[in-house]
Amino acid sequence: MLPGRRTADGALFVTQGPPPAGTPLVGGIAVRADGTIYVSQAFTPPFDPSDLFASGEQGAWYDPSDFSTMFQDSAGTTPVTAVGQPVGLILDKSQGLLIGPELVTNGTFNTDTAGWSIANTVTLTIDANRAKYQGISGNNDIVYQNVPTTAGKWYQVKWKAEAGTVNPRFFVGTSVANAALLPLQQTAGDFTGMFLATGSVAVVQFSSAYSLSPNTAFYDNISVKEIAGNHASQATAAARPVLTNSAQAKPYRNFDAVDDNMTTIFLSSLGSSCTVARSDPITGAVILTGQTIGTSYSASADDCTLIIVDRDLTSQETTDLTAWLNEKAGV
Amino acid sequence: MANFSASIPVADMQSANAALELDGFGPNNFSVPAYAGPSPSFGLLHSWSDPEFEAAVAAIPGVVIQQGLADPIVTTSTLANTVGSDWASDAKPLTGNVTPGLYRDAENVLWWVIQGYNTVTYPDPEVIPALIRVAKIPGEALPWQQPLDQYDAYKLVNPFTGEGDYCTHKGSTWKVTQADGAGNNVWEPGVFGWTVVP
Repeated sequence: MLPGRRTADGALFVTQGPPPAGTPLVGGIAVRADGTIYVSQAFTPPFDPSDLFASGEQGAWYDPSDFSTMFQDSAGTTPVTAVGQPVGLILDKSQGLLIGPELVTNGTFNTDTAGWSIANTVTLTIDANRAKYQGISGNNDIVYQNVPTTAGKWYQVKWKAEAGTVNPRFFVGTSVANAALLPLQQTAGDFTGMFLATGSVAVVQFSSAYSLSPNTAFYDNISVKEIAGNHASQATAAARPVLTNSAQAKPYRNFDAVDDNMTTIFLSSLGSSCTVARSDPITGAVILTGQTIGTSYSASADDCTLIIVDRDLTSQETTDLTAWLNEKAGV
Repeated sequence: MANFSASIPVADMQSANAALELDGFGPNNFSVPAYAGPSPSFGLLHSWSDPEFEAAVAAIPGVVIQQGLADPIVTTSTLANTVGSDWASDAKPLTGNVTPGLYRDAENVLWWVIQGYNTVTYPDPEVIPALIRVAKIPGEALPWQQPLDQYDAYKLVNPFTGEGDYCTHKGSTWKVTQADGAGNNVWEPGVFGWTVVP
């Protein structure tokens, strides 16, 4: 219940803003024996960290208890499915993980190979509504498409690959034959990956493990879409934290205090009035105000949740967030 | 939780990191300096349990592996000592009688004690270079000090950063851009082998 009071003329003053986490979704008026009047706004949803970003604020919200947002590798190809696994990529929930429009032209190969280019000697045809790649051994034969991107934004890439005479090869880079954005993937199946764009173009490419000549492989359902948010990653295996359970807290990122860290790249500097809020798995809420954050942030402290927002919080927001962070830590 | 730490001599560190990156484990896995002198002597790493990664690390010549102990810090510290070095996190306070090893002064500067002495008798370490020298931190630009030998010379290619060492001197920040055949620079900035960083 939110506190309110009655004025001399009978009007009610009600505290505005979202109620603390755990507040029942009921409304009404209550009067205590001492005359204090309590009023709650009916059916107000409980506090959620996304409220802090409702006005377009920049920052990030990482939630290690949400397994759907974590991957063991920085390329986002292997999801985290259990505690004890490393965290190489964690998605930022502050912008709702919104998926943008399709950026690949003709990734479904329904009728033809329009939109795709060829480097060196490749025969590219349609076979059962999929692309049939046929290259020559050792010739670095590649099929590619330049996809428009914005440096500093993250993109979700999907593809289906099937082996022909040899295994498929799929990768994304900054130029033809370059795999700087999404490392070489050499197995058959349906895949999803992520990459952080470094320029205005990403080159989506496929070839084959050219051990035979001629060599064939099949591709279909190639897709690249922006995935909103400032996601945090770690490409170095030794520097990845591990997802850990404790007796009281929700799963948390366990950094080893030796070399583990995860880095976020922001499109622009967040400024000098940032708030950094962390749910420490032992002590609960840790909220730092007036923080200066440039175009990157490196996290290296254990967290059940980490929230970065480019402004000061109101007192009500601080109260709500403190309760929410403590609940995550089980304290 | 299972974990391990590993060390590699600095001379082999860049090739070890290149091999691990080629195997798909990302860049700069060995990244933590450990000291057996004024310059880092070993590169360390710590990793949570990953059998595939551990096998790749173990296959590198010169690597020493320490299986996980009580926690990652204890594991890494124990390994550093096992190979005859000190991890910066274990640096002792530079007070009282000091013996050879890694120390940290009140301003958080790392020092390497070459020969034992009493800090009360010699409170300013900068005037006794035969007893103590600044420990170089890869990538940091500290005030230049005249190197006495190859062990504390500035490097043309620092194995931790992959580029020349930095220092500050006479109001400027400098970077090593030339060195002797062994990659060492012992000259004063402005005399030979240093370039002012804009």
